[in-house]
Amino acid sequence: MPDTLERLQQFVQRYIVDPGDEDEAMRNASTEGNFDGAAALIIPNDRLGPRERLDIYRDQYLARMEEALENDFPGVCHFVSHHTWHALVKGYVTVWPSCSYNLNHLSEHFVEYLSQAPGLHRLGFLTELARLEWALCEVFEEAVDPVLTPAEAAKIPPEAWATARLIPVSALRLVAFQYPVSEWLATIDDPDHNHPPTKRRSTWVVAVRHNFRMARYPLTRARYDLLKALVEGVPLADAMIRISRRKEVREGDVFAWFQEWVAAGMFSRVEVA
Amino acid sequence: MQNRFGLPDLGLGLGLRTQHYEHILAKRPAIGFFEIISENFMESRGRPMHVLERVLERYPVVMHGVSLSIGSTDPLNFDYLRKLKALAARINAPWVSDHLCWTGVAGRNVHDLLPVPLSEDALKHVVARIKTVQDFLERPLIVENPSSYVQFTSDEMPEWEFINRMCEDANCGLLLDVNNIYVSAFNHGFDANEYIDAIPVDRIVYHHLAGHTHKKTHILDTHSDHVVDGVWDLYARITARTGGRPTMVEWDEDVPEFKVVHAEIMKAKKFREAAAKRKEAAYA
Repeated sequence: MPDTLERLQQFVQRYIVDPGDEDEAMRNASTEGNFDGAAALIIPNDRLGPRERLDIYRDQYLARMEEALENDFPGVCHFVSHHTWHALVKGYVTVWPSCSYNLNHLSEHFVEYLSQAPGLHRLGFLTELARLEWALCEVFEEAVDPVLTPAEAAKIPPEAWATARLIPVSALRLVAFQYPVSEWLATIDDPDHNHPPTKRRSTWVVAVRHNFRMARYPLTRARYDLLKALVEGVPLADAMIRISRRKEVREGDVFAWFQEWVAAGMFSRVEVA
Repeated sequence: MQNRFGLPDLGLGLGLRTQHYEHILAKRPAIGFFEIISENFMESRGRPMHVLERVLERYPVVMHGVSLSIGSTDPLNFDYLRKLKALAARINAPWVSDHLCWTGVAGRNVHDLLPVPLSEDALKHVVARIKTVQDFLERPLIVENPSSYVQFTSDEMPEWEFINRMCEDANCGLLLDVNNIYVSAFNHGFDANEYIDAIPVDRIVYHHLAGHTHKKTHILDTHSDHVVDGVWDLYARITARTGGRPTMVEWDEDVPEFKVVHAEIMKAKKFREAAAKRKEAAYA
């Protein structure tokens, strides 16, 4: 491998990705590639100098990272100021740069990074919002499974339900939050910026992809607990007994919930013992 | 003249983009082929692969990559190549292309198509890697000429000479992006016609056309607009030499509705027909 080519590439990459200002980036790149500044490597033209030409790539790099992360975390991007988003992305890709051929992997550590980001206003809310948005990304990317239809569920003999286990589709995520982040996310396109309060309050959400459409449903605590038990493989009868002891659950509720969930495409199949 | 690899003339094509999925599946537009971004489907388990499988029922689909990084000094990524080869086999891709560029070193990917210096050393490096990739994929690699914003002090030859020698020494195909020639000609001050006239036509497997953004001091290859007249002029010039090759329009930013992109690629038809007529007349 040609040594000068290797050093040139180290220089160019370092300058493009360096989080410092242009002067600092150039110093770091020159040291890393062992070159005496951009003029040693880049030819000027009659409109742009060597560093200005390289700046085209540097500017595009951060813009591309911002765009990729905004695609996955539109709510977080909307919540913070433009300046904060820019700094957040720059900090993130410095700690967690893309090392994959697929830009879709860039966001994998964003929730973790955000949860420890210093100086961010409403960090608790923002982290929960990011957690919801990442769950939605995962649901979007998950495999296509067969879906249990209401007609198929109706064919299962009543006595078999006692020990039946419901297998969820891969494209389902069940998440508990300490803030009303799903309600807030639903309003990010509101032209009047009417957002619900962001005060701390427990909320529960299930996100699912059905027929290639994304959906998310708010849950009560009781619904969440039942669905969580089912997703974890607890037989239906056991899960229903657990939940039916709660005073807020009325007779017939559980059956109605189950019908809604099957219709929403949340289960792939029923395993009967 | 056919390309030397015997790869088919698929006519006029478009990039398969998510914004157009529903239109394509519902309306089944008249188009010769679709091009996918390989990386978007190499790990796809959801809707993109489902849509691709339905598109494949009606259209040939060619693969165009953005992360092979053939010019990088990092080792080739064989995990990536295995997935690329598997996808090509799965969709029966007529051909697989990527760019003459590097996308990162030291294990990183900056997700940009960074130019290689036009030097003897770089040429040797790129040729060796193309040969390895072709051996692994068991098919010719179709390499796209880049658009670029810098020229290096280590450049030793014009880009068209680098391209010609790369194709010859590695025995690879060429995806001639006409817009990239236009963009780089402005950015670097060379004569685009000289470039077009120097390209060996039997290496050209297909063409890309695209719109760009003129920033006054430089042109950015943004794929965000209609193809400009200057690019159509260059396309007419190369088509007169080749007699017509498969051609597609790339539109990746500010993507308009399908009919706009479709109308754009159909503009290429008249150039291909004119070239075909000239060819017929020459044989008459």
